[in-house]
Amino acid sequence: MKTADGEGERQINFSWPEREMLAGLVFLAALILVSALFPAAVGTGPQAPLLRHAAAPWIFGPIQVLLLYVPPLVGAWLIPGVFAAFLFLFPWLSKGRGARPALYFFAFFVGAVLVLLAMYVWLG
Amino acid sequence: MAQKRGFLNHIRPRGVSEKAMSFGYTFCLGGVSFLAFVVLGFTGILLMFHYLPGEKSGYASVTTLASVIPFGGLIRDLHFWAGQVMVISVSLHMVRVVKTKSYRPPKEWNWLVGMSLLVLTLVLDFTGYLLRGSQESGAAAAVAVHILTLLPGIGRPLAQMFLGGASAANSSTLMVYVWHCVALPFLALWLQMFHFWKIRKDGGVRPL
Repeated sequence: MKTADGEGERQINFSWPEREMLAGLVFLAALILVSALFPAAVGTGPQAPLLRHAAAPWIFGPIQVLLLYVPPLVGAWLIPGVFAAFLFLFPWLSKGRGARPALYFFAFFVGAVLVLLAMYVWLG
Repeated sequence: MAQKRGFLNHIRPRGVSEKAMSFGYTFCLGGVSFLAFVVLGFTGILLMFHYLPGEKSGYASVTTLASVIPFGGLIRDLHFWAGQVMVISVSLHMVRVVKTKSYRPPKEWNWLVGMSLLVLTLVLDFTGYLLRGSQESGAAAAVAVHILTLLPGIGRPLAQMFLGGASAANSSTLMVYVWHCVALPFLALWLQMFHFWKIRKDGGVRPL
């Protein structure tokens, strides 16, 4: 019988140098390279002339785009709230006959986020 | 059975299933997220030696870090990029879990922990953005306060509790700083430890 750690299946025993450690070192090297090549912006200082337009951080870009087209209560609470509730309850919503609709709605969610992110980039 | 006992043995068993180590199954997205979190913690502590929250000191200390302190710019850049990587890797990790149907019983409760970690990651990224103390951060703080106050009754207390009077003029308040540097990272760390432990308990990362 297969158990939690896959006993009964082919096992990998960790030994030096571990694959995980090598992958981690590659990741760190890539992160240092990106950091050296693309410095993080410091933004506009408080003493500078006032900005006429400020974009949200990109992670909240989809919500900023929504707020351009729908009332704040809908764009900032209702729509994100429905998606968040769906995501939290996904394992239970996708049981039995709900499996396929839940997967379609999940795909719709991912697609909507990507479209809104593209609009955020497009609108600047 | 010995390796079934103990927290550390769940995190780091002597051996794991070959499938669990398959790159094509997990794409290492959970591991990348955790590694980014470790980088964030390490660089964050170094940044705390020089960063001062406050209306004038927030932005000033960021520019000092970026241009005066030796390696301060690189440490800040690492902190920034690790944050962006973590947001992307946690999001992709969620998509991978759906693709491989790894949310099915008995893993549904761990899905909830993972979703909480996704929300925490977004909030951590946002509070980090506010701590820059720039005009853009101030605008983001003003929008966040406005959005929170849309909630009748509890909105204003929530804004005060989470943003501590952050405004367009001052986004790097002490309250935001404490949330970003202490409360949220420790909560995220605790949830991640539980998440990893539960993965092993629920059958490891392998096709069901």
